[in-house]
Amino acid sequence: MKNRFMRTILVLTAIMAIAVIPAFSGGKTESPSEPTSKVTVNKTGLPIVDEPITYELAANTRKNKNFKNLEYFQKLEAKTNVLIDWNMSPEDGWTEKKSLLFASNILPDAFYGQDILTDIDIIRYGSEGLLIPLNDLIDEYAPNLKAIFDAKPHYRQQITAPDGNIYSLPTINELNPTTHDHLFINKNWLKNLGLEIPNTTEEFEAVLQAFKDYDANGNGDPNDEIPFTFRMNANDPRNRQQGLQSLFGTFGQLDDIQHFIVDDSGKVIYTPTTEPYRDAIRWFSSLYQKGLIDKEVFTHNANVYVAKIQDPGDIVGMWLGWSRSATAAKNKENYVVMAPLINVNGERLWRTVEAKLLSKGSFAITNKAKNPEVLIRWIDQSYEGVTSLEICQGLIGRTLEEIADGRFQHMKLPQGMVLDTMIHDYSPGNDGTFALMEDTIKRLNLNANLVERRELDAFYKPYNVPSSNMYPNLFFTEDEIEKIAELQTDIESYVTQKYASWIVSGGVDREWDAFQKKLKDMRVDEYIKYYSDAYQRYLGE
Amino acid sequence: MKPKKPDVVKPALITRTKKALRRDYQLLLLCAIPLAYFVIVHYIPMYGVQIAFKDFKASKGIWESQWVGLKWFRRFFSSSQFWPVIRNTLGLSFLQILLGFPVPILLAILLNQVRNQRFRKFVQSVVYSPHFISIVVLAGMLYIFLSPRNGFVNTVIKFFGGQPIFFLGEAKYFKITFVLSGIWQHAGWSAIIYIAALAGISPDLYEAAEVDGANKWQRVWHIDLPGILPTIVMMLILEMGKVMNLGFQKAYLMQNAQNLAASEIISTYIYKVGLINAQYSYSTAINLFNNVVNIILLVSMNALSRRITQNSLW
Amino acid sequence: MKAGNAFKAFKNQTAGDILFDIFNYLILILFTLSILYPLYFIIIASFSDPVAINNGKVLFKPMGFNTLGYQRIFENTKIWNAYGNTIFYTVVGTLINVSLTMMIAYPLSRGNFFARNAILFFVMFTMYFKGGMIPTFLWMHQLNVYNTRFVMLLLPAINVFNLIIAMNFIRNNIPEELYEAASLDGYSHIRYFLNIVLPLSQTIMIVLILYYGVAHWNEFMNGLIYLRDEKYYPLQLVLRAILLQMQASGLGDVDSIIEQQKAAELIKYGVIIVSTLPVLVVYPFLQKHFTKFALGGAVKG
Repeated sequence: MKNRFMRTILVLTAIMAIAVIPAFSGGKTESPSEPTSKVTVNKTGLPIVDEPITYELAANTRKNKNFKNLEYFQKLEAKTNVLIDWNMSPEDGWTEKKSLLFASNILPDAFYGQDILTDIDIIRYGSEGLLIPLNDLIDEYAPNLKAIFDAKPHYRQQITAPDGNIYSLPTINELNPTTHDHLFINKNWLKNLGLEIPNTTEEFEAVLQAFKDYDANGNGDPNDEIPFTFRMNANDPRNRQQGLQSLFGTFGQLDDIQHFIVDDSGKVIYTPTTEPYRDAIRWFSSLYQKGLIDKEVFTHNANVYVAKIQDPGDIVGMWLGWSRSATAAKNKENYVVMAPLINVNGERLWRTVEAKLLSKGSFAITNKAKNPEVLIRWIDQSYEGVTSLEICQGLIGRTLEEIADGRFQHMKLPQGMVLDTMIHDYSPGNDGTFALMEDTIKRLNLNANLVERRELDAFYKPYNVPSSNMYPNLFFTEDEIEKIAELQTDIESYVTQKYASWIVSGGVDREWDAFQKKLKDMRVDEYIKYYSDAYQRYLGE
Repeated sequence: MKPKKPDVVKPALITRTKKALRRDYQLLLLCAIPLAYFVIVHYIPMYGVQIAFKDFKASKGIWESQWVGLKWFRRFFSSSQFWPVIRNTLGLSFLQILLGFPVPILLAILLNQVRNQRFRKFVQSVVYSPHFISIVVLAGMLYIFLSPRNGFVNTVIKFFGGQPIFFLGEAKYFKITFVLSGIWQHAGWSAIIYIAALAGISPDLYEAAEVDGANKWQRVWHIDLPGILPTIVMMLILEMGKVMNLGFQKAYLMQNAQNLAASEIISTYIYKVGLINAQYSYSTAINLFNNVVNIILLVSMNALSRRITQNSLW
Repeated sequence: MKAGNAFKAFKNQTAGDILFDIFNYLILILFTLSILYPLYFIIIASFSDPVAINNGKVLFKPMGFNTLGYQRIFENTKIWNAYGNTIFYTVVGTLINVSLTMMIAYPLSRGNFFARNAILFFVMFTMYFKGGMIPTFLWMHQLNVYNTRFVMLLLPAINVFNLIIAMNFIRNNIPEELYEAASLDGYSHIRYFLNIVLPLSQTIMIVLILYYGVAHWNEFMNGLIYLRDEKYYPLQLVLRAILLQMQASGLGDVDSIIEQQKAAELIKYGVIIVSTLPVLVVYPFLQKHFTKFALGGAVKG
């Protein structure tokens, strides 16, 4: 017995010994640094370099494209003499792959693409030196981008990290609307029931009650109508456009996705600790209990939500969403946009989304790259006015055409082709990095989709709160992110659960004090302080 | 010269080892390449486990990153979500084993007793196919079929005079929905190993039983079950060793604000934390914790089964 | 079955048997129906209008019949290459898997193998303690197998779970008497393994082929992390990329967006059919081999 045991140990040790030795050869893989060869970089004009030079760029694609096949990049390569070795990844799984690239220090020369890096990536790897600061490079080698920043300095401020460095370049699209969520109401139902668009909470409730009780869609069945639906599913990123946040303004204070807003005195507020939040939940809860709200608002996914609104049976009375035509499709003519209700202070409030800056992390250069100024000049090409338009809306000659007076419009597409596909067959489109500014947009004849966006924006403009009341899209420091991460998941999970539970089953007043106490136990004051400090720092810059 | 003390133990060990080697060297030979695989693919990178005890920084690499001891474990244990997610994970896993473990066995036994070959082959060819449905589609189908408004299942319930049940909207239904949909999806596939085990039972035993006048129930109880008992025990032990690894995707897709109290499990929690602050060390530490618990369960189960059924992995 | 035999068999049944059969058929039929219906649903959904699907209107036949999903899937030429890759990974990979697994399962099945416990421990240890993706990623780079077909075969070469199943099967189904008889005839371990154990292990090898084969067929993560060139991509990687491609981007005109939403839903269902069909076709052939074989005869012989 004893010998058998000892033999087992012997064999085991022998195998372990052999196995473990090579492990000590592990560690950083660092390729021996070559002496920087002299490369003549043209500071202005094209090509950028006289001798072709190759860079490895990591990019991801939502559109299942390989950038090396896109006409836009092929033309760019010919013009600039900068050859790109594209390291493409599908967007699905990019997070894992990206963290592996950084963690193992097997980095490309640069990262390219809209949202290729998240805030935490930029802050963390920038501070660790894996991404290089670009401030001086921009000033010296990126005239297009510099011009944009000089004209609108808040963009520069937004992409500057707390340590004062710019580690990544943005994607800007001034076509992006200021209002992302809109309230739509079924005008046919109003007509059928002889009602007007509601303006107050009493009228709102009365209209919904009528929608519920009577045969609003005229099909003979008074029970198949859904008076009011929306969608708040925290696990789904499209949550931002279809939820109740703006409607909370009915009680004097807006809500936002992360529940952080800024009041008129510049103080950062976490809405679940405030009375207006409680009032709003109480009211929506009463609506839900009366059956005026779709039972599935917290559970249905985006496809089911949209399907309800698109149902040929015309079953939805009121809903919240991004785009009337995209969400309602064939039913779009049934709906009109509705203004916010007059709130307790006599105002009508709606959320403002400062989202022209689509992404802070759309281009970053790693410490592996030689002659980074070449890359800066290369990416600066994308920031030129018409080029940005071509990246975003498609190449001239493919989906865009030039018409009189230096204006542009979308071309008529060949039979069976859709615009989105056509754009992405030649340009990076949504995968790409660009800055589409207002002065270029002015030269574009907007198509129906873009016109609708502008119309909706104009409609809500009188109600949009100043953007200083919305918590900005700022950079936290790595330390703050780590501390926030510790608290946010737990706090948000609790808040989300309670939000849904109160609306569905009531009890917000009964449980309010216990709720506040539990939040305090979860260190919510500390949590708010981090957001508050970051905001102060952001203002100070 | 001093007389040497006779060294009895050492030579015995060496000669015993030599004898064993001579007898079994071919077995070692057979193991050589497979063992090389484990060394190369699994053991050489194993030094990465230390990330769980370090503050991993990409710029420093694994070896140079700073030691932080049990910091990540302490952080996880002190989170207000810790007990809820452990409870949910264990609750779901054990329910899965309790309800889901017997079903494939039952299926295999029933199929084995079917005399009509065509029916049997048909069922066998169909019953495992849900295994291939992607989680995304399964979750989508659950939302459609279980919808309180017009889901198929609730239509049937209403037909029989009941009230529609909001399966995905109430925490109390989450566990059973999660587990039952899992059984439905995987029972057929999991039955394969038992079907194979049943195929290994000698037909002589069945003939003898028929001669003795045993009916089917008795045959199942006295031949089938004992015959596949070693397989059952092995599978159960292995299942216990996976209890903490409850998959992320299904829970994440089925999760919503109304069932969060029951649907937040360890893997979804870690994912959410990682979304905010992608911290390799933290997730590595939690995985290590999970695996330690798994091992404890595995070893306990193995010891228990050795005592009760004389059948065990080692 | 001839009428005479059938009657004889029927006569030989007791009441208990008949009850059992009724119970058996009932359960199996119910279970099969519960499986068949959702499968049927997926098939008809892959040809239907997503609005109808999500409103619960698609029950027994497709609503708004269209082949948009399949068109989008197959117009992508990368898919054929990906199919080829996956077939390669599955066939060659499974071959490697089954060989290596049996090679180590047999020694581990022998209770008196002197290194048995040590090696079993050595192997099971890797199920619970892993270095993780970072060191493995680095190591694959160092070995120069990154972005090669080989890495897809190397990484999953042996699955410990399957190994234990195989080991147990041999232990429980191939009696020691056979080995004693064989060694009396002068069989060494390797000869015994090749000539006796393997043929008698057909059943478990089929199970291994199924388990490993399906794992290769569904492989996604390894392909994502370790392959850079599209020409090596496996099927799942391409299918998921196609699915993702169809999520509406908000760019383009409204008709684009609507059509894309439609296609995205359909592709989800279509993808299951596309990636599962080959497996469904192959399985019945494998299933034929789950036959009972007369072990008793071998011992007596």
